[in-house]
Amino acid sequence: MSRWDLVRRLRLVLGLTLVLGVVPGAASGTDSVIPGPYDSTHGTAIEWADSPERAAAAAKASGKLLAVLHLAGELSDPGLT
Amino acid sequence: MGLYLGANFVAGYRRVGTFTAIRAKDSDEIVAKIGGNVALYFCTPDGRVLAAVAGVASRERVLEEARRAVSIAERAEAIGGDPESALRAAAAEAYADVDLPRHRRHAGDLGVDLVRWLTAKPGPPLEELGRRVWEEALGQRWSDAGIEIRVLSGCGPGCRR
Repeated sequence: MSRWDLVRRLRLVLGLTLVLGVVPGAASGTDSVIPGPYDSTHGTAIEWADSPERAAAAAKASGKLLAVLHLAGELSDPGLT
Repeated sequence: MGLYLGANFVAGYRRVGTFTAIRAKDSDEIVAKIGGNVALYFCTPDGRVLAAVAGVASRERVLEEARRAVSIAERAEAIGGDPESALRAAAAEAYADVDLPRHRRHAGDLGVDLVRWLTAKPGPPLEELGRRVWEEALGQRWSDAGIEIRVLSGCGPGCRR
C-alpha cells in the first residue's frame, strides 16, 4: 500500500467515523485500523453492499432490517467520499 | 454501535449526489471538496423508512435512530394483522412520543423536520423520502453524475516558489 493509499484510507476512516460514529475494529474486537484494499466494510465496523437492492435482498433473506446510506461521492473510493 | 447495526441491519449505499473535488496540480491528492452530504435511513427490507439521520451526526444520534427503527419494527410485529397498517400504526405511535423541543436540542432542525415528515406519513418509501431529504432538507442536487474533479492551478496554499 503506497503512502497516498494509506493517507486516503485514513481519511475515509476518519470521515466515516464522523458520519456513522463507527470506529474500525472497535466492534469486531480486532486491532486492525487500516482496512484491506477491497474491504467491503470501507473502514467501518459493518459490511456495505454496493447497492440498496442487494442489501434489501440480503435483509429479506436474513430477517434483518435494511440500512441505506445516501451520499455524494464514491464510498468505494476513499479519495472521493 | 457496529455490533448493534450488524446484528439488526443489512447495510447498502447509493450515490445520489455529487460534489466538486479539487486535486493538486502534480499529484493525485484531493486537497479540497466542495458540496456533498450524507443521509442514513433505517428501513424495512422492502424499503419503508422507519427512522433516519440527515447530515453528519454523532454515533449517539445514529444509534438512537437505529434503536427507534428496531423498536418500530418489533411493535409492528406485535400489532400483527395487515403488515402495512401495523407498520404505519407502530411508526405513528413512536413519533407521537417524540418530545420535539428536546429532540431539536440534540438532533437540530434537520432532525425535527424528519420527525415531522415521518409523523405526517409513517413508513414512507425510501425513494420518496430520500429524495425529499436530499433536496429539501440538505439542499443537494439529486444526481448520479460523476464527481467533478478540478485541478488546482498554481501550487496551492502554503506553496513557495
